[in-house]
Amino acid sequence: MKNNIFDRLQFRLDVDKVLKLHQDDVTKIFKHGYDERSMDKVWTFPAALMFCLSIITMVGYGNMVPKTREGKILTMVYALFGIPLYVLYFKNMGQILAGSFKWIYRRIYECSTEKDDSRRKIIVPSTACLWVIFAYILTGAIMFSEWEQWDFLDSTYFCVTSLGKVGFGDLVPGADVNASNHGNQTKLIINFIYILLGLGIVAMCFNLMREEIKVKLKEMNEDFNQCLEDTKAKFVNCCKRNKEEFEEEY
Amino acid sequence: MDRRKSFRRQSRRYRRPWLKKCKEFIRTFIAFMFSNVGIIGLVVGYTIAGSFIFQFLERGKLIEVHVNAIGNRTLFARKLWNLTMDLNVNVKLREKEYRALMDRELIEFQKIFVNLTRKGFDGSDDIKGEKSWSFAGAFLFSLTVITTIGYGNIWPRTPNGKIVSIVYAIIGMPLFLLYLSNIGDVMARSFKWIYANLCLCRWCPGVAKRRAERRIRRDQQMNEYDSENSSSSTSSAVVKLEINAMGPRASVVSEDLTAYSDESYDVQNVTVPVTVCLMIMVGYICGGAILFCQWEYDSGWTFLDASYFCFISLSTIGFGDFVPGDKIYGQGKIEEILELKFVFCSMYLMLGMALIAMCFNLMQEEVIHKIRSTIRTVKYIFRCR
Repeated sequence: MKNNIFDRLQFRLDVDKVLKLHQDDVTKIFKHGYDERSMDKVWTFPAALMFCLSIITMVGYGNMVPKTREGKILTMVYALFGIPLYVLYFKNMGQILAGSFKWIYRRIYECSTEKDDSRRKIIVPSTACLWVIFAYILTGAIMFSEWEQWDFLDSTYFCVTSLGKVGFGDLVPGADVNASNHGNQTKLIINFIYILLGLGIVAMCFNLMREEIKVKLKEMNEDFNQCLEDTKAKFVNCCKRNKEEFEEEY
Repeated sequence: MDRRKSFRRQSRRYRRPWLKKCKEFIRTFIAFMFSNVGIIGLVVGYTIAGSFIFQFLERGKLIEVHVNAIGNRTLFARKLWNLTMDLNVNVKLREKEYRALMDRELIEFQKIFVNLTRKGFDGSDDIKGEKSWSFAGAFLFSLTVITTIGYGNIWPRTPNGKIVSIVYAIIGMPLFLLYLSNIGDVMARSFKWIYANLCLCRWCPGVAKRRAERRIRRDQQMNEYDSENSSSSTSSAVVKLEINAMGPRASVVSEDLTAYSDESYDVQNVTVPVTVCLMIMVGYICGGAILFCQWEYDSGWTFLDASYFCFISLSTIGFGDFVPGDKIYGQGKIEEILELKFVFCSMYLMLGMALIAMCFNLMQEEVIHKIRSTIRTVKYIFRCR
């Protein structure tokens, strides 16, 4: 634009270049945390609650992160104390939920079957655990797809990655800036409860399935040993017979 | 003749255990290969397979946001052109007015781009995702899925990719847990061995003997306390119990003395103190921080940032605000270095998580030991009163 003679093509190319530079700047600034929202709006109480949960459960969405030095250091210290606490929660919750689930399962089992010698130990089959997890994820998926207008696959993906503690952070409920602020906060809190409960259920299933797998492994080992012995006996018998035949021939 | 025979017998006697030893060694070696090296191979193979699958699914697919961004930019250029032309034709071009207008338009532009970035636009003109789904990038992605770190710097955008990543995670996470428990156990055992032999100086006999004596004395005290405790609890059969407790104790002590003063007390009974474990963890994080600090110097990582990254990664939180080799602006970096960085980062992660599993393994034992001993001392104190 040195002289006032405009060349349409040249102008467009130049402007495109300038805009590209500007865009790079914007993305750079965005990556460093510019959000068009003031920090007061980002760090509301429910959001901060969600952030803390994402630290101690090791999900780590990463949609909001500490920007200051003190924040980073504090995050590390918080995680250092929070993670063992969470692990404790995971273990305890797993045991309690597993116990209650087993009790319910036993009750149902006793009701549905005839009362014969049911004094033997009842082990919850792992398919039941899988069904429970499946149902939980399905409810979550339907709930989030209703609220957030995600499609069903997206919300299922969100639930699985959250409960698996992967937490990509590409989809986070209540992170949309355009939505109203008040609704977001209730959503965040319900999300909080959903995830905390879900992790407990995962722990329960983990607990129950481990038991079953132990039993199964033991059974498999016994079967394998029996099989080995059988084949050995057969082999020996075969050899003996062959030997006898051999001796008979001569 | 007779002598020769005996010699032969002796030699046979010697050879037999040697052969047996050899066989045993080979057997344990094969078992080790299959159980531990096998599982490392399995994890690495699974990750490589995953990276190929994701590359196949995601690479070359149009990324909607990027197309959107480029379209927006050209649209904007045209808009600016129109505005300028308008101004130029209608009024004489005045700088102040023009600037105000441009500023307004640019703010709008900026808004659009912030929204696009939030939806996952990363600033490059890479429409088809060729760069972000390079092999190394896909490898790091698969690794972050199965280790449950989940940085989220790249993620599957196609429906197929999402479904596959769900299935991939469900299979991969137990596999990785298996890897962690297995490798953590092996590393803990070998570390204990090293610790026992190097740091506790088990090879110099004087130290070992003194330590053994001290230990036996402590055990004796504990035994005394135990026997007293048991005798007091059942006051009717005091004498009988006393005798019972006395009998085995004497024999145990004498056995212990020989066992301890011999070199052969079990290495696996040694407990590594918690501080050593913590030191290892801190050292590993600091080492990684220094390395990443050097590598990512031009991206402006400070030491704090790098150690923050290491901590967040190794604790599997994985915010993803710092990722090594993250090409935000997609310019001025050589591909090979990037690949190398990804590979190095994934190696650091795999080794680090195994190391942390090892430390937890060691610390658990130590903490249980400590708790037990404190319970004992508390009981002892209450008994004194």
